[in-house]
Amino acid sequence: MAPSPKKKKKEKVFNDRDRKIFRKRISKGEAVFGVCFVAFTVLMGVWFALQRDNYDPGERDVSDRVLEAQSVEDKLYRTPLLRWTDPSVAHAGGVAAPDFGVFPAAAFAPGWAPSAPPQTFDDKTLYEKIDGQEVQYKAYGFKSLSFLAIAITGGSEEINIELYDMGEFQNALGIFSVQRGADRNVEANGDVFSYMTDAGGIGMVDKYYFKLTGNDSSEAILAQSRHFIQNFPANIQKSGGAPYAFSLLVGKLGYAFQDVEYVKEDAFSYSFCNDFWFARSKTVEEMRVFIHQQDGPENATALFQKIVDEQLNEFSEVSRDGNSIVLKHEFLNTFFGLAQSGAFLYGVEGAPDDATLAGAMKPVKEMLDAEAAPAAGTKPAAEAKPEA
Amino acid sequence: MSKKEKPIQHPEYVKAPMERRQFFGKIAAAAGIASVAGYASFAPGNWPGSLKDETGLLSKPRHKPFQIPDFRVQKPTGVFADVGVARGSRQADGTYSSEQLARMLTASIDQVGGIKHYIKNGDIVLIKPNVAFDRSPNLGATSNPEILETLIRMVLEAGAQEVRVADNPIESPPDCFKKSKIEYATLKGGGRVYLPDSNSFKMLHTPGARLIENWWFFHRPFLNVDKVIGFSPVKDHNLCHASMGMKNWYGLLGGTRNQFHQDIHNIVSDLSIMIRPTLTIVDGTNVLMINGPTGGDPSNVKKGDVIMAGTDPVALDSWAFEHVLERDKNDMPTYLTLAQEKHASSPLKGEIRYEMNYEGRVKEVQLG
Repeated sequence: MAPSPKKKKKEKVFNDRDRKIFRKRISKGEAVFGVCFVAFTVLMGVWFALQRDNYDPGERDVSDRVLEAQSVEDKLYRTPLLRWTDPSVAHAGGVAAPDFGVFPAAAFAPGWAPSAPPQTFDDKTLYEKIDGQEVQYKAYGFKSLSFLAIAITGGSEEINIELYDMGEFQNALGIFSVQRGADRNVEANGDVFSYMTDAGGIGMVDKYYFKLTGNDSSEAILAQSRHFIQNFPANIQKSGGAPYAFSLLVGKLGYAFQDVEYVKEDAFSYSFCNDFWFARSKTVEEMRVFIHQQDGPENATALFQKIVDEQLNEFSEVSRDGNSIVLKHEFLNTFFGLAQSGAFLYGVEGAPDDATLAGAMKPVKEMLDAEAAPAAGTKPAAEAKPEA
Repeated sequence: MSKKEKPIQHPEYVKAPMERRQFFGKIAAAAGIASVAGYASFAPGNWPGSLKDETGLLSKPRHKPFQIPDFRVQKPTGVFADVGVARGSRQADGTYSSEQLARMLTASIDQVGGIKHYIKNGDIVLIKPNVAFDRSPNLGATSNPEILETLIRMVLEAGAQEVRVADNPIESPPDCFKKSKIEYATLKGGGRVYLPDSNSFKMLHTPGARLIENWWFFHRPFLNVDKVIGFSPVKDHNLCHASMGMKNWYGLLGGTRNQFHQDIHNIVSDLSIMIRPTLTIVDGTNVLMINGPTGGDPSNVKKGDVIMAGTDPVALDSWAFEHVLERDKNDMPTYLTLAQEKHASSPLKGEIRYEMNYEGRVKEVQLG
């Protein structure tokens, strides 16, 4: 038996009307709802399109204060976690030894430990650490930077340790000279040349240039800095040591370490004058003695002539004696002396008069003439006995 | 009820017959669509209309550059100074009290119109300090956190609804913000720190810029921002001689920005037209005199006694270079000259002056 129309309508789930396709009119309410629904959907779509990637999750963060206010105390029992230890690190009493990277553990006083893993930067990544200053290091043959941040246990003191491998002794000395104040006294402690700052220390040993920078001027920071300077050099990998020119100036001619400067490029502002050593005179202001070693006497002669030719643009010749020449600046009236001894060029710049110039050049000449110039150009660093 | 009694189709439905001509028309249309799709899909990449992407370049995202608004505000009528300078003395122990720093900061801004002229109720303000390095503030390589905290409070008191503090250091940003104490100072002052992440950058179009006409920019903190204040230290810079107010904006660049070191003066001068801040504040209380920008020796830091504020970043930097960094006027960094020229030729230059010559445009006050 067919169901009555009334019963059929009741079987409808949402309404008792006929399907729209069969209806001849649609109610006003349905029409209004339909329009509103379409408009809402369109608006939502427009909003999504406008938002694009402007969404800032931070703007919709629940604030810490609200989270804190609504939080409940967590009383769940948790199994105590054992500290993870790196299996590759040597263990002592079940506790992993701190990872100091390339730095020997002996360089750190008890109570100091790394606050972050050590980092290493090469010439391609150096800017990531010292953006803007990397060019200065690269000009002195930078090889790598090892960085370590250490902190004292239970305190707020921190020290950043930057260890620059400059490849050679003279490069380390070069960057040390450039960054050090001209009047800063340098202490010699074995192979280490350094000075203390208010919050750490700066210095060099062999091919390494280091900076210890504390976050405060505290005694604990200074003590650790001194400890590092005394104990760090024991285990480092050394290069060929100090060049002969440095040994001559500091060890034999008696110039103080802080008065010696290595200019890797563009000495006298000439692009062809590289690898020059300068030492400031103790007695005459602005006067400097310089030494340069060439590959052989022929090259030294060629460089001698090139320098003289260039200098004659601003200087006038005072005297010439074989491999030696004295020039006088046309405006400043200072004297410039240049001489050759085998593969070496040496001289004096900024002398106030001829006699002072001769007096400053004489000991250099005697040393170079007396000694047979070493072919390799380097002597062991032990020969350098600087005047502190 | 049986199935037969419930028709699936409408009783009035009449099947439409298809004519032969219609049939062929539809077949032709379908074949045409299939041919076009087949050509687009399988034709070699260099053929016109081909969608074949053998190199992957076709699907490479194309970034639509945006332009940053001009945040400058014309100084009040009757105020002649474009640069305000406030000097103050230290306490017996050589430090500044926070009250003294606040007085100096207020006084410097007052010389160019006062903070309430530049910050309005409901403004969202972005402060850009220099947080370039993972260094403690005593080294002078980063902005002074105490002054930053004072500045944030001052801006909030002037009616700002939100103060954001942002920078994009190349070193680890969280470490830099922590060690420089900028994060602590920001939160203490009531501001909000924005650290960069990979989604924070957008391609910025800077008309007239030589090196960064289209370049990645730390965009996220600038969303809905009304005013922008630069806050930087004065320090020596190994490449461009001095890093002051203008160089500070370098920290908003993304991408491989280290390549710009090859042409440092052009990039710094580009920054002057990249962003036109509401105010530039330069701190001359801890001045890294040599070995910048990183420093490392506290003795290289001069204890200065001045805070500067200005609407003309070029004049401000010129004054600071000569009077704070104590360099010869004849050795002014080239980027200042370039900035002056680029601003002068910019269609967006507006009324505010960007000139190296600060004579008659600096007002200096001495506080007790």
